Amino acid sequence: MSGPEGPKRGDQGPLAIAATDRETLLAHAYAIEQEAAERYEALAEQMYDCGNEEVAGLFAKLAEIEAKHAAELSLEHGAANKPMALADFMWEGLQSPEVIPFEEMHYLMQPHQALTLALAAERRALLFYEAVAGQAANEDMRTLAAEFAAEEAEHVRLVLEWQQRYPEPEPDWDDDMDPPMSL
Amino acid sequence: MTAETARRLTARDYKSALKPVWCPGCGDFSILSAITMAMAEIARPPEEVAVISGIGCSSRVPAYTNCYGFHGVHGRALPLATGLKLSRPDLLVIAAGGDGDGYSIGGNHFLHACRRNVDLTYIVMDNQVYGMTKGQPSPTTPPEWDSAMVPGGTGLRPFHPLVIALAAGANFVARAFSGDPSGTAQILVDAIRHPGFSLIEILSPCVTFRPEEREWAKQVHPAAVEETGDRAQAARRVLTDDGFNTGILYCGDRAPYQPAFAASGMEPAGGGAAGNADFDMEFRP
Repeated sequence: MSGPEGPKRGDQGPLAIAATDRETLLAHAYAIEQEAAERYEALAEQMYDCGNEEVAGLFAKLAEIEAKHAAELSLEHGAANKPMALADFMWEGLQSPEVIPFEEMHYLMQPHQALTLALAAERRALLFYEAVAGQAANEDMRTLAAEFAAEEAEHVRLVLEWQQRYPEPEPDWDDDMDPPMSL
Repeated sequence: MTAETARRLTARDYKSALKPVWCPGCGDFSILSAITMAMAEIARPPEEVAVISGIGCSSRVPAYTNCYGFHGVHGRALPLATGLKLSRPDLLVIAAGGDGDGYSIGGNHFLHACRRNVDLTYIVMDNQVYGMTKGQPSPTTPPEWDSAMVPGGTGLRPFHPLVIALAAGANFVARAFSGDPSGTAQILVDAIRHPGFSLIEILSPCVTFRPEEREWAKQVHPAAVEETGDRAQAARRVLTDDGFNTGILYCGDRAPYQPAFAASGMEPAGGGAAGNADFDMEFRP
């Protein structure tokens, strides 16, 4: 994730989460997937509005995958059960690890670039769970975090494969014959 | 709505079906997320919240929420919000807009909203440019910003909204960054809960007319010191910082302004609506 740490909000990051309990870890895991799903959905809408339908379709697909993952977490682990206040979330960076920052978007973005952002998001989630697993307060949490890390590792592999189906953008990918700044 | 139901509200409950038309990459998307996250945290149902704006890219925000909204005249978000809050103190009233709307066209209203200290939360999405009208410099644009519209820059000293707000009497002053929606949401929650007039200045990059503002993500940092209740100390700090300190910078204890007729629930003279005479009495004692 780009940018420095966010404002002080108490203990933060995977190491702080590793010192909590199973319910808190599950609440964070659910928020990671749910926020990723909502963000992909919003990014898909942005790209549709700009006429960039190919990238919009990719983001819409990613939104479906993340929403399905959130639903599985809720169903299998009851991950949505613990009510959490905003201040209770202990994200290390400025946002939960698996969301693509809105500020990374460009209306002429190409599929390879979109999947590069998605790949970075999946890798942040993988690192997050690996760090929790490495410092977990007990064996139950370690097992759970390791299970989530394995799932994210699989996502990283799949997105990487997906990305390689698309060519890298040409150097002039962002040339616009009718740019907004035309004064 | 019961308390149990209210606890289950999520950010999505505060989003309308309308999709924002902002440019991809615009910081206002994140701020909209932060606003809806804050609403869910406050847990007031959408029908008890009003979002009031003026004109500009960021002033579209009422339409994107599920709350009551008023997309008003350029620079007039604050008088509209003030009138609403005085007549309906039971509502949670949020005013929102951009730096041009709030600090230039609405500059005088900004001063007096700080001075009156009505219990409002004012969100300014500051991108240091007039984006909707294709990139003219705003009151907060740096003097050296060079563009086709102002070759060589304006050479004008930028407006410093936080110091002005402190001097004019705002009761809560904070700076946030759009790229930190969780942190921004928490500041909004604190601002809404704090009585009186709260200003939250949110740095929000305009990636179309100020693409260099993407670099803000690398420049913002949490304020190194805790918030203060000392207005002079807060003013000194914001005058001497680098403009990228985020967090709550001032938290005062002025009692909010609220006319007796509204606070008591009694009807003003002349019927159910506040008459001119009542407002004259309250504003010109």
